[in-house]
Amino acid sequence: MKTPPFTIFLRKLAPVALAFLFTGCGTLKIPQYAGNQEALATAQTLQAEDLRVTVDPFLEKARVREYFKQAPLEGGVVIFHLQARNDNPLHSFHVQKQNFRLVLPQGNELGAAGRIDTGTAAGEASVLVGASLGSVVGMFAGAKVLSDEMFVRKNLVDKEMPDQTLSPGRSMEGFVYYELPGKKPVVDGATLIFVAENAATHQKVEIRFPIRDPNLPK
Amino acid sequence: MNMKTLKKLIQLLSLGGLLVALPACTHLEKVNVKPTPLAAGTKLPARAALVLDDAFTKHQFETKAMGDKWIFPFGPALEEYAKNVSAHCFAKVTTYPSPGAAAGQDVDIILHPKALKTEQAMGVMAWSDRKFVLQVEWVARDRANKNTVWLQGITGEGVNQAGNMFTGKRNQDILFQRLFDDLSRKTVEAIQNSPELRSVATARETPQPAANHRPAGQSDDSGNLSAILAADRTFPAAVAELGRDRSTRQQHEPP
Repeated sequence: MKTPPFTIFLRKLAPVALAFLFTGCGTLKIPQYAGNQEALATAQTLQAEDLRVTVDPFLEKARVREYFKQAPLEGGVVIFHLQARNDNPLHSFHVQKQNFRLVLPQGNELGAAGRIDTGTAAGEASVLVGASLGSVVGMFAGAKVLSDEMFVRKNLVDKEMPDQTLSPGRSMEGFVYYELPGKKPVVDGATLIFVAENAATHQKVEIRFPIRDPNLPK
Repeated sequence: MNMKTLKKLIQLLSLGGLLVALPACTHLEKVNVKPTPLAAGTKLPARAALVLDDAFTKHQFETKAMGDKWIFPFGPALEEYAKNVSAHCFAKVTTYPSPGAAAGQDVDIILHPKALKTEQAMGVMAWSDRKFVLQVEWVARDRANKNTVWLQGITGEGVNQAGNMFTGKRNQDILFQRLFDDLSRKTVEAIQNSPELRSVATARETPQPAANHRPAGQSDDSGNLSAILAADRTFPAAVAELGRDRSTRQQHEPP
């Protein structure tokens, strides 16, 4: 018996529909971070010269996955959420990430990372495997992985704390990233040094935040 | 294996070989952007030196995928954006190719925009959103280019449907226009809301004492005017003023 053309068409369409079901045709959605309301016990607030700074290390995998859709720490990237408010009625402060330093327990100092290359290797590999098998579904799934990787990279830029002059009464917030050496970096016992410059006197204001890893037993 | 199958296999292998031998392509994209129309606002009464260095005017974003490379030359659009925004916010703007060239010129402030980061993200389908972010930092320094007066990082974003092979280019043009519109409006807002830049403009607006005139007096009635005048003037003018001041004081000093 001859198969009707419509049935043949549906059979060909089925893998594509399945691909949609498994991968979703939409773009990766990454939520914005609400800030202080979600800060855990790990967040610390310190003050110097009426400059009030809160540092919240993103060391819990669940939070990192929710707001960054990957586990950067496992790949050697550590993330901090920073909030700063200038309660000084007279002076402004220049806040620049390049002046912050992360002092690791081993003693080496790191500056804030520039562009974080999360890579496109996984996506490209998936597309190539899909293509080599002649599978539309495989190529589609691979392209979706590639797309997700782009959204993860863009999200890092979106959420990054911008350098700025903090005027009296104003506040700022955002994330700062550090690329750590080694495959299993240790941040417990590290110190994040927040540095701002008084715009009038050009004197540096330094605040030191000791970092504790909540994943480790106390 | 019959002859037909062998022929098919050879065809497939040669096609595969051809694909492998193909060199990776470089795609130079066009960034067509018109200057953003900005809402009329009050200009800061200050003369600005706008530094447009090569790092800014030749900025380009490169992205690689599957062996191909895409280049987005944002430099010319960034140059127009910086000129448009600064002309909208400051009374007078002069452009210079480097901070060194701008230092010491007859201006009140040196503006130095820098292109920091660019990223793009797109979905799989033609109707999926395509997004571009462009991060620019504006640094304002004093006329000697020594001290930072103000700095602000600004991230602009443009979003549009990726489009298909017929609509992709047009959609990309719209996307870039939205990106630069967003960046321009955010930059103008940041400049106009900066108390630091306003104070530079206010300092210019405040009438300075002329070299051949003495101010009426100090607010604390100290009478010590020479030191303040000497600090604010060029060296020869200050020396001349000191000389006059000393002779005047001698005349009025009680015996």
